[in-house]
Amino acid sequence: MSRIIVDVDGLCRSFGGKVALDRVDFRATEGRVYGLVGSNGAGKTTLIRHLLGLLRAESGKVRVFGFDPVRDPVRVLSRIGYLSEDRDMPEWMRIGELMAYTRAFHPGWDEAYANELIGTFGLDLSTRIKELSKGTRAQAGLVAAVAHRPELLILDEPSTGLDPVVRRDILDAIVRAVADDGRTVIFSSHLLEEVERMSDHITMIHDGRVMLSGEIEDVRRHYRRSRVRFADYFEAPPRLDNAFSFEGGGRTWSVIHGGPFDEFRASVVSLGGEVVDSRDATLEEIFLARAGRHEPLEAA
Amino acid sequence: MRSPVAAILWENWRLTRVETASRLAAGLIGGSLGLLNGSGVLFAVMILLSQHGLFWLSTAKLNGGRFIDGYKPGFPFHLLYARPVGTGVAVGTAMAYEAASGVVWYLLTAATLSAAFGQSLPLLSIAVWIVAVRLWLTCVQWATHSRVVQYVGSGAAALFLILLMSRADWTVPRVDFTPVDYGLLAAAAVLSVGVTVAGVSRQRRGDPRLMVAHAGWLGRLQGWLAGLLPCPTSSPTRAQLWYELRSGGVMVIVLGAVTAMAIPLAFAVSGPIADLRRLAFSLVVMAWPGMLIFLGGNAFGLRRNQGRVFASTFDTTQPYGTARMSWIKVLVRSVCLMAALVMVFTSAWASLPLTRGWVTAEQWATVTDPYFGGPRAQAIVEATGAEIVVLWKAHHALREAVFGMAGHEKAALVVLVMLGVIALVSLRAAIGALLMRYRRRTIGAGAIALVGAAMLALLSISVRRGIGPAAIAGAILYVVPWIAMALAVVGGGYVLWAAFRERVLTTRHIAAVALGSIVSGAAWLVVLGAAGVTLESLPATDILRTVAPVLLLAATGVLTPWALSRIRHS
Repeated sequence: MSRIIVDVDGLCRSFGGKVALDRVDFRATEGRVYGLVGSNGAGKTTLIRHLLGLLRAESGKVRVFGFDPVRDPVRVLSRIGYLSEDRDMPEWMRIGELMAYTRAFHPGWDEAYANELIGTFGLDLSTRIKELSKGTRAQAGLVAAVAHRPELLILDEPSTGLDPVVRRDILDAIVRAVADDGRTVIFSSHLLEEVERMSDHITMIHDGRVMLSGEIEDVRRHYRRSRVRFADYFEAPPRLDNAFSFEGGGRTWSVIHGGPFDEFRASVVSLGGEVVDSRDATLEEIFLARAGRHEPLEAA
Repeated sequence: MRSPVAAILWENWRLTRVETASRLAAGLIGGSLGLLNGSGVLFAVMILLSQHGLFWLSTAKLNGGRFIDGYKPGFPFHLLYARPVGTGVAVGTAMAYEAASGVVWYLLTAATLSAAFGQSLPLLSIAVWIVAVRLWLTCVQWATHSRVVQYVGSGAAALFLILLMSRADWTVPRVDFTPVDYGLLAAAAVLSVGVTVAGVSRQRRGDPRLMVAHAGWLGRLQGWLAGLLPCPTSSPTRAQLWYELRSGGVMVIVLGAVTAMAIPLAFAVSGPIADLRRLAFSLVVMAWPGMLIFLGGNAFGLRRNQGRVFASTFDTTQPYGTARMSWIKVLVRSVCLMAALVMVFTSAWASLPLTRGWVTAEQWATVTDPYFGGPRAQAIVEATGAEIVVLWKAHHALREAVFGMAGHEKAALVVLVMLGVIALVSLRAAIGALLMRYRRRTIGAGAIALVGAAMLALLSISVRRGIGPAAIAGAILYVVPWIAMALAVVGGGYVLWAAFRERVLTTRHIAAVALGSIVSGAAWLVVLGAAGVTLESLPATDILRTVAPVLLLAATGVLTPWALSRIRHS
């Protein structure tokens, strides 16, 4: 059995009166890629900040490598590579200084790997951080995050606002971290296609709660998109078993649903309808069905 | 909002309202104490000026911070400021708010104090001065992207405006400038607005300086200087020391060095011109509080963005212990500040002989008066405008006091001053962190402490003047400090317990704090002995009060790491 790297159990956190995380459970094992998805303000960054020890758990437990990141920040952070959403780095530093500074904290710094990445990205070591574009800043931050070959790589919205070239660089780094070293990667993203392509495991957070968590293949298998046709005309979406969202109207509806397919088909037939066609739902369809603003959810 | 102007005014009000409230309160309390204590109108006016004239930071808040806090120089276009209004409107409205608010708050406080104490305070002349100060300082912040120009401009503004103030006719309660000086103040105000609008317009069109940043000789020079101090990779502690030095420490030393170089220059060029002499005097006198206030704060490098204060994620995610990180931050800033202060002191001390020719024989006779600032010396200074005599008296007094000390006493004094600077920097860093983490609670506690202290001071004054029952007042004055001390002990105990529980501090850390406290205690006793104070001769309560300052270092040694941990793991 793979070693547990991250263990979050019943984590709760609120800011003022707003609940940011509500009894969140999350587990990550060695050598796998975990994608965190959710709408803006869902709680992804809050969860990541707990893993880094930047926030204290109000209740519940957070363990990374078996340690509490608030009480043992050095033991935890020395084994993590982190790229923040806002790429926060000292503006006055030059890229070379950033690398030297980061290296001092990580005895396992791989100089050859760092130089290779710097060469690939075409970074000039004498350039100051404040003179970098958004993409180049992300590349510099990525080198600092991965060159010490961390056991856990955490990337918070690594692709946001980046062009396809830089985005590919970051995704390559994730692939390489896992393929070459068998490390664990946790990354949050709005780009569902990217998460679907890169992750072994997906956790969907909505309004501070884990709405969905599982192996990506299992998740995809569990959800289907089916087109159904009824003899009767429905003003509102019909009541169907395990249906999460509806599109269409009248006699023909497209439904995102979970659970056993036979149960769903039986409920369609019981209302005088038939399933015209059915396929695995995409992650985006699942996300929109679970987290989107769909009034039919109540109706179903 | 009905118009862009109203929206901009509202934005400025939202950014400054808390600071406004605190400054109004501080002005009222400080001014009341001054007027009650017989220090007079002059003291009250100075208090109000410090609150509403100098050190106003609203523009800095809009700009993302203060000098050496990682702020972005220039107009804050980076904060989504690309608004569909003319540059004149965007800049002019904010500057008008800046100037008008200072004047309004000053007039309001001065009028309140005048009504409460029946003593008139100068109004319109000071208001004109405040307008000029505010507009100039805003101009310095916004009109340029160059930090060098900002530093020089701020210094020039301070000196020019202090010069005008020193030339004014202080026939309290009136303070009048000459017509020429009123003209100069008006010109400074108008020029500030014009330069700011022009500078911001240039930035709005794309400041070419930004486009070629560090491409010229300056960039090469900066690169060469950076190469002189490469980041060590051999240990995290060395890297952290380098980081603190580069991120703020070097700037503190450079500013100290520039001030130190300016002092002999100012003395040398002042010569027979009285106004320039006042300027040189102001430079020497203002350098100390200026450096302690502006360079001794924010050792944790907290950032500000439109009123929001936050810690850098880059800092807080480094795999380095919180206690060690906090101490390194405080130590580097303290050592750099000490270096800056030593440079300025040495420069002033060594340059003072340049002014010997300015002092007449009659004035010189007052230098050796045993009373620093004695009435005779004061009368001569007022009659001749020879403020430099005050410096000579300080020089003489210091010489008498320090040169007469034994070697170990001098060493103790040096240690004490160093530890004092460390405690000051440490305390300010901790308060800044607590303000960020527990803003309302910290402000509440500070307000209670301030009001409590003011009430005690008022009570003390009233007892001295024979107002009210002396017995009750005496009992209150006796009991309250003990209650405050008990609260401090309980609070300190809680912080110590919390720091242990959260593993911020270990027994090794506590041992280091204890060692520092023992050293400072020993130095304090030696210096007290040199001043002729022996503990044996004091009653028990006075002994406690006398040794209390030593506990400050121990308290900050525990409080500072705990405060950093509260913002690192919030």
